[in-house]
Amino acid sequence: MTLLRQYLRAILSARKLLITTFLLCFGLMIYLPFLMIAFRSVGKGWFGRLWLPPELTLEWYRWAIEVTNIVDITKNTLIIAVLAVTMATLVGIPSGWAFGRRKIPGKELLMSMILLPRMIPPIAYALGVAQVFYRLHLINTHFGVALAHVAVCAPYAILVLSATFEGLDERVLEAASVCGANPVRTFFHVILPLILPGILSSMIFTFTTSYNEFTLTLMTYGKDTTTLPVRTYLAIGEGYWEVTSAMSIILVIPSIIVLFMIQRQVAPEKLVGGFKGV
Amino acid sequence: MRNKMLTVVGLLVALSLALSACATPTPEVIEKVITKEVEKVVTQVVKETVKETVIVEGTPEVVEKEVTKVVEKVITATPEPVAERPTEITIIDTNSGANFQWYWQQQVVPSIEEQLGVKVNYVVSNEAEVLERMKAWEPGQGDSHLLFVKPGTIPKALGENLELETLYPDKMDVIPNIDKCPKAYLETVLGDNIDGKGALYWRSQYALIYNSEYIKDPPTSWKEFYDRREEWKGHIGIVRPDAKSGSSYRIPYSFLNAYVDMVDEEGKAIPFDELKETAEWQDAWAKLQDFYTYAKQPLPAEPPNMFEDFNAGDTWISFYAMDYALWSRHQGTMPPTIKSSFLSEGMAAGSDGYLIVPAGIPEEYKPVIYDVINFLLSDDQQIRLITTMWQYTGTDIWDKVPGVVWDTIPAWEDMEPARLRIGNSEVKSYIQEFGAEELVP
Amino acid sequence: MLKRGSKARSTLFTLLMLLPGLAGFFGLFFYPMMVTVVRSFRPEGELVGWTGEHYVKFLSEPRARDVIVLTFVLSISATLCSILFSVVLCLVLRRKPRGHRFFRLTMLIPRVVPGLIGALGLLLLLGSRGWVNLFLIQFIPLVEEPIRFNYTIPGLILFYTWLYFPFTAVTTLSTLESLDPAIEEAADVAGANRWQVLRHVVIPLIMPGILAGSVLTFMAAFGAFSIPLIAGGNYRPLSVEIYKQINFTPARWSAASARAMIMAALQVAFLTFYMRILRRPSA
Repeated sequence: MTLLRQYLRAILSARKLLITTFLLCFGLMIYLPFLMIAFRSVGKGWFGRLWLPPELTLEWYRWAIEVTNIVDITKNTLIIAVLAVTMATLVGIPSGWAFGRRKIPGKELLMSMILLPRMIPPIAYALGVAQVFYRLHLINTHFGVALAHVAVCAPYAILVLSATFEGLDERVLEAASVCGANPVRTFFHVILPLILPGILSSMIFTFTTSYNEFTLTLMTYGKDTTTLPVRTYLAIGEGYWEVTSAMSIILVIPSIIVLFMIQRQVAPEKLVGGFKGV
Repeated sequence: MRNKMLTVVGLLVALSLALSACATPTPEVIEKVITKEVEKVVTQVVKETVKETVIVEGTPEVVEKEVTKVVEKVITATPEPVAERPTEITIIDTNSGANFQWYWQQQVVPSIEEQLGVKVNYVVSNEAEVLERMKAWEPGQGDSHLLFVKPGTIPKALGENLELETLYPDKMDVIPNIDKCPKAYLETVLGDNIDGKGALYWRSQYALIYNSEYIKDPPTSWKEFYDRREEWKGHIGIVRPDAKSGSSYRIPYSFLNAYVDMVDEEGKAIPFDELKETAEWQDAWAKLQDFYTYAKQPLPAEPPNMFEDFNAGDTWISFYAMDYALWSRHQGTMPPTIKSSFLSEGMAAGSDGYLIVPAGIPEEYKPVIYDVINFLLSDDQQIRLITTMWQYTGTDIWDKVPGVVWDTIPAWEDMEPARLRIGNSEVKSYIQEFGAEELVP
Repeated sequence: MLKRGSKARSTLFTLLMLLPGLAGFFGLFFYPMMVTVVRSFRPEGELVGWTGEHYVKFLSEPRARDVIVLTFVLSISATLCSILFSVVLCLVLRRKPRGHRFFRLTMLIPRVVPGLIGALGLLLLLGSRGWVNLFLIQFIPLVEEPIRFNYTIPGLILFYTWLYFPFTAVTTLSTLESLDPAIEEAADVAGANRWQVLRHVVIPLIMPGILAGSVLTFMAAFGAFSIPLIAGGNYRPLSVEIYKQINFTPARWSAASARAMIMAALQVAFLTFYMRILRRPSA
């Protein structure tokens, strides 16, 4: 009996060890690449087979800021992201309301249709977007790039907002009108607070999507509208990787911070775009 | 019923969109207004004071002097309202690597602003994009005023019917310094005629680059490099033939040049159809294919990948732009044991830097641009190029260059005989298009 | 009478509200797709005339077959690896071990950062002087030379998996957590041991979730563009082929469009096939 118990305990504790090792490896696989980039961005003289760079320096960051114009590029990225978020939200709110609160024939089909731009790889229709934009002289404009981003941002916005509006309980609205509130008051004091979290979460996701968008930007950008992802790509192809690493860290830090900040408020899983019906 | 209607409407919308996508765009009618101004011309003699930077003999010092010149100025009787001289221009750079992007930003642009009072918007781009954008310009509304390009861009642009201003000899009066550029470089690039449409800003040179930590006695010729290839098997750095970088074709071209002549005695390219039938070519090509198998696999897609290999100690020897390697070593992005040396049969010229002016920019910008070009070709600027970046100057001013430079890089007279200008553009194109299939092991 | 009027008004209003979304869809996705389709049938550089030469030329090249096979191999392998890894990960996380909240966030990191950065980091980490190789050389006695991960097919599959497994993991986890524990308890009571419960009860029940997520993983891997662009080495899948056409001077828009259409068609075909399998009622 004792032997069996010992044997069982051994298996159980081994299990725990296995799980811990597994999770540890998982965490390492995800975070080590970024750590490596971080060290590369502050390392000097890191040649040959060394674990760590022999010297540390901030000159690559200075280079990134002074030579690669990273301040202007970040400005571009933010401007475009803000424009994209605005447009996507303006598109998302009415559509989300319609999907969430009205019976629409073939709703599932329409939803799948709206989500097509996220399913079909962007490179396939980015070509068409580029050609159309050339004709409309939208290339190399902040508005043009943001508009291209809306193609991938709006589906998210619509998805999240339709769930938000669906969750608006009719009875709450009825209760408000019973209590004597006119439509305007109902809107500002009842509806808005209820949908604000949903709008906020959709704005955050569309912002992240636009901030990180590469393929569509690559096809519609110009010298005045280079974004961080595109500049990083150019740097990987022809620059010093120390400077590229510095640029990558600058690019990545906000996203990770945002992720950790909002994880309490909203369910980040939505970011990954799971949707019902498939 | 309603469903049916919705479906029909949806289909109609889709169909109409599809049809409009097929429609050819209506050609735009652009009205060109040509006004001819007839004016009375009077010649007057005027004294003008000009600021000139003069190199004091024997030292790398730069001294600014004020010189009074006597010029004949042509004054028009009826002064026409002159469009205000632009004070801000855009320079697009599709040539510079990371090292020169630093130089342009940190050294050249501030100099232009200080000494010419012209604010520069310096933008890095790539050739394909710039040419595409230029094609979409409205006439006279081009927004990229001065382009700094690789040699190959000029024939490409001309081939796409993009007009460029002829700088030599037409604009010699406003760009006097262009006279110091070697005429051969102003007339042809890579075997194609450019008829003076580009001003030569710098000359780049490829050389053997090796890590002296691993290699104590580098080869002194391509033939020796090939014969001793076994010593460095798996440690030779060769960039893919279809890379964006010019090293993609410069390495194989220089190799081939050691075994077969691709230009005739007059320097004209031998037609490729003839060339590839000859026994020398076929032997050289076979050797080249074999050589690629001794490179570090997989072949780096672009030079930064190759330099990663250098830094890791996996690649010991390669062939690349000398200025980049030396400057990177100086900056600490390449090991301090990196050295460069000669290969006697010939080393490809690197991406020489050309300044070109699109014809499609607003006319009032052109005088400013010509001033900028003249400034960039001035002795002062050219000397800074070689002392700071170890890049050979575009103008022939070797006697003015401080002697200390020649401690680090070979003197031009020594380098020039081994300098190989790509004379056969068909071979170059062949390597770029079919190299991936034929050469990559 | 009044009711019918207000109903019509309501429908009109709904339509109006849907208009921005539909306009965005048509203008930014559908119309550009149509433009690409049409362009793919035009002779290169022309805006009139029809020709199928781009399709014929590409599909008749022996290289084309290799490219398509490569794209499928990469996507399918990455999807399979994602499924395997996600299932294990979710089963582990389900029990809420210590720090499970942190790991749930970690699961999302690859989707929050641009793919380029993840690829750069992996290139550095798995390079011949990256930490992985340094570790292997120092601590594993059998390893003398650095192992080549980068620019190989297995390496590329690892890259793809790293980037796209979150799609599968998220849906699997949510399906797993919505499982009624009573079912597992019932199986346990019926005498099945842990493995049998897992194999015969849990996995089949969460299969829809796994498959839904793996569809997303496959789509993303099939269309992956920035990663093979910088980390593909000699291997150029379909998406990179498309981009290469535009990088010629002059840009070959029609050839690129043809390849893009082939890619989209393959993807839609595979998706339809996949969905049909999903819809099939399980035995």
